[in-house]
Amino acid sequence: MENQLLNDTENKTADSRAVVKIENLKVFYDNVEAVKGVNMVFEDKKVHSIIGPSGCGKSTVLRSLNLLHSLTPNARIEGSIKLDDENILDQDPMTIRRRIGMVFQRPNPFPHMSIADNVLAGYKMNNIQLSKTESYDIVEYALKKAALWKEVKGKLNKRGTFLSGGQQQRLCIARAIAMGPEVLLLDEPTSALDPITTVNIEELIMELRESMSIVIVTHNMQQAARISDKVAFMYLGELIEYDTADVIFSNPTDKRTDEYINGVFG
Amino acid sequence: MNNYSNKEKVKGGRAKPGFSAQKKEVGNREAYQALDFSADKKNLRKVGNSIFSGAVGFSVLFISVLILLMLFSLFMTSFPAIKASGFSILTGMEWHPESGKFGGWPFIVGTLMTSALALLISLPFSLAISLALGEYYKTGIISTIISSSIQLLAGIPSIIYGTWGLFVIVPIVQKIQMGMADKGIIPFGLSIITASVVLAIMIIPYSASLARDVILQVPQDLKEAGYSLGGTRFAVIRRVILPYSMTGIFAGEVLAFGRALGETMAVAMVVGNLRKVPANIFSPGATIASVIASEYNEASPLHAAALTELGLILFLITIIFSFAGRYIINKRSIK
Repeated sequence: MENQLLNDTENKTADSRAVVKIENLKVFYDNVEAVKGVNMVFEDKKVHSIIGPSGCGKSTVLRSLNLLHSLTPNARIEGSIKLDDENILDQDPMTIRRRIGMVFQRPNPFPHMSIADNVLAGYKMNNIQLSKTESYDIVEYALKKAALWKEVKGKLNKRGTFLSGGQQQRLCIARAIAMGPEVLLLDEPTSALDPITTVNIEELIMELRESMSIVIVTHNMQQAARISDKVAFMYLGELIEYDTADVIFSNPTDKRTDEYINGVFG
Repeated sequence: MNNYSNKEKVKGGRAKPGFSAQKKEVGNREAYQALDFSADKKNLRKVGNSIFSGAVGFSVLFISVLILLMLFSLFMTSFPAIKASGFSILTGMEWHPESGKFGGWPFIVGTLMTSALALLISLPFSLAISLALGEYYKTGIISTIISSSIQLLAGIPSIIYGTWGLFVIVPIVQKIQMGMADKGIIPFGLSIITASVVLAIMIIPYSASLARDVILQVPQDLKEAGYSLGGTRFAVIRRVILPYSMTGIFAGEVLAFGRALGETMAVAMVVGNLRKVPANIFSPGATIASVIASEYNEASPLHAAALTELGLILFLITIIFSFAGRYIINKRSIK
């Protein structure tokens, strides 16, 4: 990486222990309380899973970390989400979203852009001018990190929609990490993918864990067990239990966690 | 008994599934028959089906034949003019029916100039309106107000636009023209630009409503992806929504252009009806539609044939543009 910009982002992620602290987070849709006072801490270089039945508010928590709740007109948020001890709810969403990247459930590369432009989409969105070599370096860096470089290096100028589902999702991950985020949020990133592709994405997440904090929402308990350092179980908008993966999956304290994990409900 | 019939079928090489599958099929059939379909009803359904597909087929055929017949009759009516002067109507610069000169080039230029200018003028407005309706105010009172005024705009008769153009746009253009008197422009007020402004307002509803529909169809997850990368609303519109809906917006513009090409009354009232190639956008001119409308009633047989030939040319221009538009849409469309 001779590129200055990349060095900066690398250093930034290496130096600062990006810690996200969620304190008493409440999210309302109209008057329905979807998230009821959640407290959580996400550490650097760790994978945190949020599990729970549909409608338990886990995606809402994840989306509010990316400040996407502000796109929903009837959503209201209380409490605080601190990134480096600053409440992101008070800050400019555009700046925060560059530091906290997001990958969505369905692979959603921009269909009108080439693979390279998709990776650079964040820079284009923010009108950051890049020289040709800078752009190329970022594309190479992000695609290598997303384990997609070998497959697409010859067709960077082709549209991203010709890729397979798993490749598209990795392209979306590359798009998110190209901005050098400190935290990467993944909202059920493998639920639309086949088992083999899922394993690839999981391996990728384990590699990305070396350089950033990862928060993943998943329906797949085995997945959570495979990749997580810490697991949060949410139920009906409440955080029931938040502990290391070992404790949650082998010796949960709350009865509901135990029941959910053993498939009694959910 | 079942067993027997099954064997029969195997011999015939048809029934591949085993006995149980066969039985299940029979069971399904029985259940189906139990569903109160008497023979009469079944027949009725059959007849109804064939009547419907017949009607559909006929309508399709009818429309296609009608277009061909229209082309044919236009050709036949304009035949005397084609015989007299060949296709020189396409290139001839002089339109002088009294001395038998039928050069249609000034009108072809006038038509393309007014329509293209109108499209150019209307583009920012229709884009803004479609973004307002498709992105900013999808529902609610503002959306209702904007979209009903757009619908109203589409429903106003052409003659009203013409009159309004005469009273409002013409004086404004006159003032501008007066400032350019030293360039040899006579302040008539009636000119290509006057017609273009009136046309621009008339075609806004067509392009805006189509563009709004495609903007509404931009997937939410693409917009969210844009925001999640730190994009502002403007950035998302510029980098995601507009590129994604570009082909649809283009389709709307093609439709609007088609409307502009053929618009007659309003244009005839404000364009000046001068039978010369317009020197610039402030000179008066004429379009194919306007010249047909203003001359057809008092035309000699040959003159009328020449006017019909102009109509044929307009028809062909419209077809060419609509096919070219379709070709580009197919080629550029995403997915």
